[in-house]
Amino acid sequence: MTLRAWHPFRLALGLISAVGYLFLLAPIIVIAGASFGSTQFLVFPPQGFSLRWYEEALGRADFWSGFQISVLIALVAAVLSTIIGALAAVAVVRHRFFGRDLILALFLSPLILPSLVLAVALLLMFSAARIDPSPERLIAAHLVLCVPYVIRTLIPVLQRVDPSLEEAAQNLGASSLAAFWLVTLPQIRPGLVAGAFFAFIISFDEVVLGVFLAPARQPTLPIQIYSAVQFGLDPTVAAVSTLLIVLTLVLVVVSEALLGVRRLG
Amino acid sequence: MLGDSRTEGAELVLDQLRKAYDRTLAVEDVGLQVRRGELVSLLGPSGCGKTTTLRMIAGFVEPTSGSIWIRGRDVTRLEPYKRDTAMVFQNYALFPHLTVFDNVAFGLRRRRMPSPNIRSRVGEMLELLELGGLERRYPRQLSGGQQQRVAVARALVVSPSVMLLDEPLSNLDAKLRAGTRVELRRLQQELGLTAIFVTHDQEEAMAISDRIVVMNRGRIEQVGSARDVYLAPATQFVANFIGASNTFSGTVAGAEGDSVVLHTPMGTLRGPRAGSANKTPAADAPASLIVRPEEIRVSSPDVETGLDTNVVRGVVQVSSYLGATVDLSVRGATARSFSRAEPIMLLACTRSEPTSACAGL
Repeated sequence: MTLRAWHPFRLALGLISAVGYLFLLAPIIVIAGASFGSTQFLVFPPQGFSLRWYEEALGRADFWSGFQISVLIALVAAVLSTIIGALAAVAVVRHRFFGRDLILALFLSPLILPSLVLAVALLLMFSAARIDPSPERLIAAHLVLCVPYVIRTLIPVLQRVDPSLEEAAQNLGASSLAAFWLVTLPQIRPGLVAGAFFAFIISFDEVVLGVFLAPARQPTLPIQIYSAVQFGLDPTVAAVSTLLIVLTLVLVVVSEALLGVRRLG
Repeated sequence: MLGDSRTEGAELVLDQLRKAYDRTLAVEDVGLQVRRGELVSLLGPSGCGKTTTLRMIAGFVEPTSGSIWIRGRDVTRLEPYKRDTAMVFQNYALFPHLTVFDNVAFGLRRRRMPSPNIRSRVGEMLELLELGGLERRYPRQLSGGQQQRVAVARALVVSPSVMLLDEPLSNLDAKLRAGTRVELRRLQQELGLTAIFVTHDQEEAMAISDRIVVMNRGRIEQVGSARDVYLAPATQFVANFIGASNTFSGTVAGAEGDSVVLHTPMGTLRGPRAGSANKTPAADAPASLIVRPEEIRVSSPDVETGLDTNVVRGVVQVSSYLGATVDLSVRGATARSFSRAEPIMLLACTRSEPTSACAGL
């Protein structure tokens, strides 16, 4: 079915899409716009133009320390959850064992568990086990959120890899570990990158678990932003948020480029 | 432990090999010895256990019982990568992220061969398989025939003790298949390779093999040369599976020297003993006479053949001209001495095209 440009159906479709996108992008536009304002309070549309809130945001020690903690936690969480998730996905896709479907369901279940409930449960569990607040504890909590994402990303990718490739590698003298490393891993690399990226963003962005489980002396950046907002809508918060949006965009472009390069090869 | 007499001179020995899945037996008591430089086909319909047997040799499937010996070494419980077999997969299983060169070099790198040696060895192998100039291509950039040759090169390059071929020709189109078959056989003979070739195509098995192992329902029905299995099938299954055949079932009337006389609905027929008929047959025991189409002479009823035994009269139903031969389906007239009048179809193969026929078996 082809419709001419001015056809009412096409116009309506275009209008709905535009409104939809505007709705999705509005918060970003508001935040980014307000961050360039010169007033003391967060207003949109911004009045005047200044970069002083960026200066202030970049100069704030609490944001910097929060950023460092968050990056560290997100990196470790992304690497660990990618490794754990990849191993679990291989087990689920390649092997038949008792309780396989149950394990699959369990791995995917935290996706439908409200994070507040998860946070309370983890807090109770950690106190029962006498594990004190630490970045490691928060990383462990983040793994509960990230690993299912990695598994869910990798399962369809692994299902498309021909199992006889690994057999061929073993047949030619590679141990099963070497066969996985040399043959299967390169096939699922895009899935691994995507999974790790998701995990990083989930962990970096996470507030609720952080509020409950992070050590009070080392709050993550989302917690710093959250507490800054509680004291008043300071435009530095908008500036930090805008910087995070830019950082995320850069990460998306970089990972897309990495995958894109592979596709061409 | 096997006695020396059973492993001596044999490159590959399968002893009482058995594989059970849950309650079904996929492979049952398969025993086989393959000499150095011999190409043996495992032939049978799908589900006959031929692929399972091949995968047990490669080490991808663990046998329930029995043992596998390669060059006098028991490899039954050995990991696949320690077995020194090389397999050509039905779908080729080329590594999609590696170039042709790296695919072929894979096995040599696993064997820690120094890289200058790898370069020359892979180069030689690519020349041998007429793949020169394609080193830097990726598998998806190759034609089906080229992919198949890369798969063969990748297996050949490691000089395996036993080469395993899992229907390597089935993904090629018919025209390419016959040529590749001859080429594969030439390579195998030139390089003196010991090879196991799995196929469901009887013509392919007959064309390429030193010996054929006909399998059915997990068991070996017969082991022999193409000539053996075609001319002296050990079982009814082999007779039906290999080539076209006419089966005359009846009862034993008597034995005369090397031949057996049967009463059949088509009249009294005489044939040589084969298969289980090597024992002296008891009178009135059920027996079958199997006749290949090309063993049948066809003539018009008015021509005097001078034959008095093994003559069947009938009417040509279908005549198919196939160039070198003409295939006939003949509806036979039943002999009067039998009360049940069941006409049977007779398959004959001739050079002329008669309209009615009188067949001398």
